[in-house]
Formats: sequence, C-alpha cells, structure tokens
Amino acid sequence: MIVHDIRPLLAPTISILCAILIFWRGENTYLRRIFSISAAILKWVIVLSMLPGSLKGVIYVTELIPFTPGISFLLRVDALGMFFGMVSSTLWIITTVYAIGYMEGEHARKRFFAFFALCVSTTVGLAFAGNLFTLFVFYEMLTVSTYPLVIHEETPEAMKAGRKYLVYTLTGGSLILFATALVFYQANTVAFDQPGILSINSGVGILVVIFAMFMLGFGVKAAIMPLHGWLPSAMVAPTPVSALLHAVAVVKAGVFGITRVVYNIFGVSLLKEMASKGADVASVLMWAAMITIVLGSLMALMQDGFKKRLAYSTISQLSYIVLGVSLLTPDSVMGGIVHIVNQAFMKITMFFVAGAIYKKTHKKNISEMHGIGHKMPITMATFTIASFGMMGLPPTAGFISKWYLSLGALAADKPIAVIVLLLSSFLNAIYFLPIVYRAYFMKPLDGDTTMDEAHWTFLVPCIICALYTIGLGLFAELPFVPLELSRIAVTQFFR
Amino acid sequence: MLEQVTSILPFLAVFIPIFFVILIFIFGEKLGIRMGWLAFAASVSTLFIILLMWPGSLEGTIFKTHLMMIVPGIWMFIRADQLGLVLALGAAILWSMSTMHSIGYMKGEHALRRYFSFVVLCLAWTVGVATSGNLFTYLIFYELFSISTYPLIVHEETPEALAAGKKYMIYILVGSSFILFAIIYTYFLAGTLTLSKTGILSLAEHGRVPLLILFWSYMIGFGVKAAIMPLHGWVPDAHPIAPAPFSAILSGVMVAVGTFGIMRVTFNVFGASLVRELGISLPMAYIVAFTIIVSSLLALDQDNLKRRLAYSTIGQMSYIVLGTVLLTTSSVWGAVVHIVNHAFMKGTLFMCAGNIIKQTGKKNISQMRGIGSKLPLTMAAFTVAALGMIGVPPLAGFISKWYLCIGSLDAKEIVFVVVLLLSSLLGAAYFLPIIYTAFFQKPGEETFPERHGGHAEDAANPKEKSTPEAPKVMIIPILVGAAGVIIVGLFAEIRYFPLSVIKIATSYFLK
Repeated sequence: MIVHDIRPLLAPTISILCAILIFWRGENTYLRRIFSISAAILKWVIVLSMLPGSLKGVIYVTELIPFTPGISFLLRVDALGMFFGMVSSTLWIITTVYAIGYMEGEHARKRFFAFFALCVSTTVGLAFAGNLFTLFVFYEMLTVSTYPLVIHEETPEAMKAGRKYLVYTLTGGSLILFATALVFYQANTVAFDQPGILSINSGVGILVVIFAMFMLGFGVKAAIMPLHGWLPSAMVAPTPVSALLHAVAVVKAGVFGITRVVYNIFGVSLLKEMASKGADVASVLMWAAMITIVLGSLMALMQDGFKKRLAYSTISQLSYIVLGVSLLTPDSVMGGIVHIVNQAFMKITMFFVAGAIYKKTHKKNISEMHGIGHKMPITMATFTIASFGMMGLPPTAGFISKWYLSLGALAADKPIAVIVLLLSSFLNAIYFLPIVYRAYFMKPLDGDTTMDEAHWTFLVPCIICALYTIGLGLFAELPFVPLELSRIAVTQFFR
Repeated sequence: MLEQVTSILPFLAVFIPIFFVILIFIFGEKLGIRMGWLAFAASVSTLFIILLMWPGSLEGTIFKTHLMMIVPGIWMFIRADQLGLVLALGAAILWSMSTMHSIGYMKGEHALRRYFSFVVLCLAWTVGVATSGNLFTYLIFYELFSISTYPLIVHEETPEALAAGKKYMIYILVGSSFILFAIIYTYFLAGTLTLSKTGILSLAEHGRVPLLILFWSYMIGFGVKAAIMPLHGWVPDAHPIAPAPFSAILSGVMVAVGTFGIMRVTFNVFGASLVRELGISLPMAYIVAFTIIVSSLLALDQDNLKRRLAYSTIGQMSYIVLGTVLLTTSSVWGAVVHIVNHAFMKGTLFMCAGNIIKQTGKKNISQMRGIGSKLPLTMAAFTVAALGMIGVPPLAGFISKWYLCIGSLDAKEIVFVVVLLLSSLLGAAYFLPIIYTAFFQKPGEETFPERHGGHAEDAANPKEKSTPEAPKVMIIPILVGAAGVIIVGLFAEIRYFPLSVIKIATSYFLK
C-alpha cells in the first residue's frame, strides 16, 4: 500500500535546519547542544512514527520535483529504507551525546556539529531515496559533507587521509552516475521497484557492465577489497566521526546501495537468469565478499592501533552484509540486513570505548593498554560484550546475523560461505579477545590500579549499545525489533 | 509413562545462581572471603531445587519452562529430563563441595570477587546445559560456560596460567566452531533443533554423507571439551593451573559437559537406531579406547600431582563416551552413572591435592613422602577416592566399570572389556604409588636424593614438621566426597539414587 506523506521529506529536512541553526548561532555552546540534541530526538520521533506503518507493509512516498521526464526527486520509505533510516537516526542521538562529551575543548566545534548534522540528514535522505538518481545525489552529498569531519584535526596526516577519501569515493560516485545513466537508457526509469526494473532483453553483456560498475562504485564505501584503502586512513578523524560515519552512515551507505541495486534494480529472478546464461555476477560478488571477510580479519590481526584494528574489522564485517545480499536467498538477505544494525551497534560500542580510553589516558595503541580494565572496568565490560557479539557468540546480536546468514548459505547450496563465516568468527576472537585479556588480566605498566572511569557522556552511550547487543540476541523475535522489519523487507524482495 | 509438565523449577535452578552472583558482586568487597558462603548458599539452593524435581523425575515426569523465542520456531527452552537431571545433580553437589572448599583454599588470594562470581556463574551455565530442551539453548549455555571458565583458569595470572588460558581458549573456540556448524546444519536438514527421545534425523530423508559430516563435526566439537585424544591438549595445562577447588569442577563436571553433549547428539539428535544404521559407533569406540590407554600411560609419567589427575580425567571421560557409543542398555547405564561417580571421585582428589598445596606448598608426588601422617584426613579421603578410581568394589568407580564391562559384552566387543581392565590396572599403577609415598615412606626418606635435595633440607625446615591438618571448611567437603564415593557404590541400586533415574532415561533412548 502506497501512502503519500510529507514525513519522508521532513526527516532529512530537520537535520538540515539543525545544521543551518548551528552555522548561525553555533558559537554558543548551550545553543549548539540544544540544537543538536533536539534535532536528533525530533527526527527520531518522525522516523519512528512511520515504523508501525512500515511494519504493516505501508510504503510512504513524497514526490518533489521532476527533473526530466522519468527522473524526479523522489523519497520513498519501504521496509529496507525504513530499516536504514531507523538505524541512523537512533544512533545519531547516542552519538550526539557522546560527541558533546568527546569534543569538549576541541577546536572548530561549530563546523564539526553543523557538518555532523548535515551528514545524518543526507544518510536518512539516502535511506529514503526512491530512485537511483535521488540515491546518487544523497550519496555524493554524504561524501562532501563528511570531508570536513575527516580532516577535523587539520594535521598533515588528516589532510592526506581526507584527500585519499575524496579520490576514492568521488571515483566511485562517478561510476555510479554512469551506471545510473545506463540503467535509464535501458529501462527508461530509475525508480526502485520490486522486483527490479531491468530485463534480460537488454542483453547479458550490458547487464554485466552495469552490475560491475555499480558494485565498483558502491563497493568503495562498502570497503570491499581492494577498494577499501580509504577506510583505515580515515581513522584519523575524531572518534565520534569514526563511530557514526565509518561504522554506520558512510560504509553502510555503500552496502545499502548494493542491496538496492541487487534487489530493486536487477531483482533476484534476473540475476538467476543471468547466471543461467553464464554470467553469474552474484557469485562473483559473493567471492569478493568472502575474500574480504577473511583478508580483512587477517589484516585486523596485524594492527596495533586500536582504531585501525576496528577499521579492518569493519571492512570484514561489512562484507558479511554483502555476502548475505549476494547469496540471493531470503534467510541470507535477512541476516545481511539485520547485520546492518547489529554490526552498527557492536562496532559503535567499540569505537566509543576506543575514544573513552584515548580521552582518559591518551593511549591509541593496543600494546599500551595493559590493565586498562582495572582503571575503566565498566567501559571495558561493554567492549567485552561487543567483542562477544562480533565473534557471534550466543546470545548476542551477532549470533542472530550469523545464524541467518549461515542458514541462507546452506539454502543457496554454498556451504563454503558457512565455513568462511565460522572462520571469521574465530579470527574475530583472535583479534578481539587479546584486547580484553590485556585489559583485565595484565597489570598496568605503572602499577596503578585505582578506578578512574570515563565521564557519563562516554559511559551511557557505551552501556546502551552493549545492552542492545545482548537484548537483540535474546529478544530478536519480539515485535518492533529490527528482525521483524528486515523480514518485511525480504518479503518485499522475494514477492 | 512420560509426562511433560510446565514448571518454574528448571528455570529457578538456572537463575538462582545468577541471583547470587549479583549479591556477590554487590556485597563481595565488604564480605571478603566470607562471600564464599554466598557461593555455597547458591550451590545448595540449586541442589535443593534439583532435589525437588528428583522424585517426579523418578515417576517419569519431565519438567520444562519455555523462556522466549530467539528465532522463529526456536525457543529458549529449558527442560529437565532424566539425563539432564543426573548431570545437574552431580554438578550441584560438586559445586556445594567446591565452594565450601574454596572458602579455605582461597583465603588470602587476590581477586576473590571475580573468582566467586564466575564460579557461581559456571554453575548456572552447567545446570543450563544439563536442562536445555533444544540444541540452540544448549549452545547458548555451552558457550557461556566455556567463556566464563577462562577467568578461573587464569586466576593466578602467572605466565603459565595465562599461557594455559590462551591454549584453552583456542581449543575451545575451534571446538565451538565445529559445534555451531553442526547445529546450523542440523537445523537446515531437520528443520528443528528440539532434543527428542529418539532423534530428529533419519537416514532415508537426509542421506548418508551429510549425516556422517554432521556426526563427526559434533564429535570433533564436543571431543575438544570431552578431551578425546588428540583433542585433549588443553586439559593437562588448564586443569592443574586453576585453583584446586575449581580444578575439581573442571575435571569433575566441565569435561563431562563435553561427554554429555556427545550423549545428547547420540540419543536425542541422531537417535540410537540411526547411529547403529550409520555404523559409526565402532570407529568412535576405538578412538576412545585408544584415549583410555594412552592417557593412562601418560598419567604414569607425571610427577606433578594435579597433572597426573588431569591425565586420569582424560581417560575417565573416554569411559563415558565408550559407554555411550556402544549403545547397549548396560553400557549406557555405566556411562551416565560414571558422570556422577567421576564427579565425586575426581572432585575429591583435586580438593585433596588442594589441601596438600595449601598446607605444605608441595605440588609434586616425589615430595609427598610421609604426608599421610601430617594430613591424615586429607590422605584418607584421597585414598578412598583413588581406590574408587581404580574400580575397587564396592566403591563408586566399580559400579560404572561393572556396567561398562557388561555393556561391552552385550555388544559382543570383548576388546573393550580388556581395555577397561587394563585401564584399571594402569590406574592402580599411577594411584597406588601416591598412597604408598604418603603413608609408608617417612618424611625425608628420599627415593632419588640427588634429584630432590636431601634429608638435610627437610630437617632444616621446622615449619614442615608442624604442618597442621587443613581447616574444617577444606576437610568437610573431601570427607563428604569420600563418603559419597562409598555410598554411591554401596547403594547404587537403591531407588532415589542416580542409577534408577538413569534407567528411566535409557529405557526410552534405546527403545
């Protein structure tokens, strides 16, 4: 059922308004905080108000301006869009609280918070995009508005990382634009539809080209190897940026784009038809994802920088989602989609912890973190829970993703994917547990074991995310939790 | 006559310990070593609840609690059937003994709150494993148990302890991966994970090859924890390094949880008839027979007492697996009852070793000359438990061995009777010298003076002469354990003893 509604437009607009207000009166710390937090909550409420409808299968649509016949600026909230929008706006609130604490005393806070708001605005816009063109616009806006956040420190290292980031993502963006034009040329529309808008009549060759370009384009932000190079460098950004953007918004935008292309532009039946004609592009994507999962984990093992290790872990985990999408079975896609939110919460906990430790002790490297668990027991406890989630231990959220991904892989008759997932869980244990071990079971180098916990603005976000990790493992089947929404998204794909 | 009753009791048995963990966490710092009594109270309360279910279980009742749905069709589902209750009962008794013993043993140690919290948590997870109604719930508790054990193994935080902990983690995580794979695959094949009386898989429906892959994945996965060779590597490092009361739990129950997993897979996932059809019991039986012999030979070679006990555990666990896979009524009786019997015997032995370490600081058997006159009660309990291990009638170990032998004969596999008898002989060879050294050698009488110093050193140490017997909290548990070894052996066939409950369980597994 399609409902015309203003709310899909309202949600991104609020964040833009917030950004404008911060640019206008942002020198004042209190006004800046009030703007940021109230916009975050307001937007969350708006997105939430559409959730009951989405759970019933309602699709909310706002059509704005037609650019050319067939291409308009279109916002359309289906279950998948709702899912991504909900994740981003929920985490925005948590990250805003964290950022307020973290950025205390930093320079250029006005710029930081304004662009922070702008980023989230574009992320939600991207989630609600109703066609490839709108998606592309928001995708590029996201790139541009993240740049000031990546280079926030303005050190030479940061500037270099920023440049690398722009080169990678803008190149990816131009590929997407080109592919979008090809889609329009073939299908005469770019609107997302079930089950896809292309047909085999276009010829297998051109379809393969379109698919490859989309994957290369979105693959940059989704950090599929070998397109991942920007992500570890971008870790020079302040931790809240790494947390929200490089664990949720930016990277998930890439994964989200891939999902859209696979299910709403191509569609399952077309991809299967292509496979039967010898162009099994989904399998190629699957192999790329599996290689990234394993290599990402192996490279994470070698990192000593805490945030760098998290970055490589992100690369690996993102490919879980891509793997789920590429397996083309309902269970696997559901596992993939639900991993968007599960990975987001788990990884954001870890980044929050990394930031809290850095702020408290100025330690960036894992090798310096002896006995940090004596100093900051609660912080490290949340990290431990998140690690268990990453390993996919039951009953954490990570297990639910892994369960569905594995079932989907078996249904697709690809047991190799199950083995890759299990191997990756094991590697996750190898690179996360030593951190926990070092924190709790090794004595601090200075011998000082007095408790000195982080400020509440650090602790509360960590605790909320850690509780989510357990809660969603235990109560995944309750109504109004992500799994239900992702199930609806999947039924829309496989209708 | 089987009747399933929805009841809150299984739920309470799992969650009462968790409640106590919270208490320990809140009041632990204030109470100091006295928080051990909270841990003891947790164990006794759990034991009480399990005993409440015991009479019903004898009538064939199965108690169950549905908690919550995790993925569609899969509940977090706790169900105390007869097999599970036997393990839970053994665990609760052993924990009661061990937590009491800890109060003495852990006096003056560091990180007490961590120690007692995790010990009680482990009890909750063990009871959870025992009473899981489906593989999914089983997996959850099993993983929680594996992880919660780590801080206890590395408790001393010495380099050796940390190395043993690391080894443990790697072994267990690899094992868990196999189990997880097997469980996912089972769900994919059977569409359910509920543990049923006669299994949920069938040869006609799923084909031979997938079932074989499945079976061996389970065996490798659980084999790591059950210490079946060559997957036993973590045991000789991890068991001796943990504090003695927890070594008792590790050896008494934790490895048994692995064998329990093998039982669940054999009886409730595959079903006895399917295992027979697949012809996988004999290869498995030969592997564990190999383990029994080799581990006993290796035990002979250990001078460190706790290490010797750890190798003995490896062999004993394979008794249980042997009895399980032979699939005759008697062999299964012997296997299940050995879980309880072994928990009593090995728990007592490790706690005795703890008393020796705590009172004299001696870890090696070669240093224990004449220790029987200094610690008479400890060594008396040790002797009873060791004789039980060897299988001297009428002690607990004899009952297990008796049924295992009968079962092997029923299965017409005489070779396993020989293996069991040989293992008893080897058991005598590695346990009796300890008793001999303790009681019949005089302190200072040196077998190999050049290796271990000499008379002068011992004589020069006046403290050693006045070593007192361990305090009451450390003596009572081992005396209870030793009494248990005798009582369970003497009265094995009496109603209300584990064997009668096991007979009910077996009657429907092997139907």
